[in-house]
Amino acid sequence: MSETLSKIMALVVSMFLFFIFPVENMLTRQDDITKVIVLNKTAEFVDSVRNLGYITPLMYMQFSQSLSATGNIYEITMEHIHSSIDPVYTDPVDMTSFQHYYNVNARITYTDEILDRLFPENPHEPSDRYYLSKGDIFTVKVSNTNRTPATKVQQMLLMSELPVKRIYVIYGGMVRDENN
Amino acid sequence: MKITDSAVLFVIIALPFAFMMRIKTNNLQNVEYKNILLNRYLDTAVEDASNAMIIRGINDRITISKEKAVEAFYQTLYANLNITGDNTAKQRLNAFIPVIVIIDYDGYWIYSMETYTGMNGEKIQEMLWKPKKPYVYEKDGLVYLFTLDDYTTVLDIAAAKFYEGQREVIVQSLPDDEIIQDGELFEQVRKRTIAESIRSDVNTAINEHNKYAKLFGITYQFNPPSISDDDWQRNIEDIGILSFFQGIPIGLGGERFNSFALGAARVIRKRLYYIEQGENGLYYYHRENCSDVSLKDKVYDSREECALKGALPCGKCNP
Repeated sequence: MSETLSKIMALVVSMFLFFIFPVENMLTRQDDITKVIVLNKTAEFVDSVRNLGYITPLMYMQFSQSLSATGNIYEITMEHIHSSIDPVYTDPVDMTSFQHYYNVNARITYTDEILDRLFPENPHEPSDRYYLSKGDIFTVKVSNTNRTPATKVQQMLLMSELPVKRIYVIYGGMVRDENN
Repeated sequence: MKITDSAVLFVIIALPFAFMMRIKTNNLQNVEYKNILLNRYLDTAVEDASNAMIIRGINDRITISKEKAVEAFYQTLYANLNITGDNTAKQRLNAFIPVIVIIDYDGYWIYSMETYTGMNGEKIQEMLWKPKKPYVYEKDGLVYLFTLDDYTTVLDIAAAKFYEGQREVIVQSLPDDEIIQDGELFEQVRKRTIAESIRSDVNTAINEHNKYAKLFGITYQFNPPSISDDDWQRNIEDIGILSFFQGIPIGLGGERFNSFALGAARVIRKRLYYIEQGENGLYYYHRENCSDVSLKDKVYDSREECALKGALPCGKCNP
């Protein structure tokens, strides 16, 4: 009786050692490498936006395609902090109330609005570039929304829920130039 | 052998490999991080250099100081790498920068290693400025001296004459010349001439640098970077500084950092803004290429200027 029990135990332990340990190890390494690729692609995209001063639909498409090539699903969040130079009026509809000075205000545009400009919903509107100004701040955050294979295996082993976000990259900076 | 024994044996064999994989991926992450960091340092350095090189005189006349540019470039780089007070580290870093190019309106300077004999007959090797080179193109006995815009000097060697001015101005003086006559061809030739002459000098300087790098104990083989023609032509459009970095070791597996950076001073290409009355009666200022601009009568140079006129930023082009 005890012979059978120890045999079953031995089978379970060796199953773990033979299969699950190497697979888990390999998948974790894969996540690490994916992180490097995502960081690299994000830096490439953000830097080209910072150097050019605009986003074209093609640039965004290529960026998201290169991310999806890693086999995960990502959420891309863009943030554009524009320093807007606004003249000061005490009454905005009255032209004579101009105070002869201006304020520099931060106006923040988020992903939805940027994407709406790049890929308009209205099919008659031509797809356009999104322009940034010199001195603006542009930041991109990328995080995975699916459970990576490594997370799934670990969840199975620990029998508990693990956080979904494994690959999380933030990259941004000041816009260096404006081009047309 | 029992199954548990073989499983343990398997783990003993597999564990070192798993460990090595972990070290390798960690190294890969580290290399990527360093790569991005160094690129940032390099970008900041050329940006500072391009700001420092412009000296504005009376009547907005601009002179270029190449010495100031290089000084600012190295200072920023040293400050970022935290080696401002360390002369040995500075020398070592300098050996990884084979060439710096200062792009001026009508020519360019190359800053690279040179050997010469000193006063006492000793050999001296240091980074030196080469004489300024113009953007020259020669065809059918005519020599064209291009600039970063369409101002050109054409020398007719046979007739010993020269024509100078904007392309539209000298177009009457040279009726048979197809480069001057055809605006599109002129742009192409001009851009190619500028890119080609800088490229060939950069490549020569980098190849030469191998000789000197050995003296600093660098075994890396410096190679001219592979930058496409389009990239060269797109990048060089304004006064600026171009610098190359090669062979900085950044990883355990022999990874090297290779990059180049261009900082433009934004002197020639200006940004323009237009003010126009909107449908609601309020005045708005727009970018040059905004679709809401219909009449371009008066040009403004800056957004601040427009705002002081009381115009609001356009919601469409978001200037």
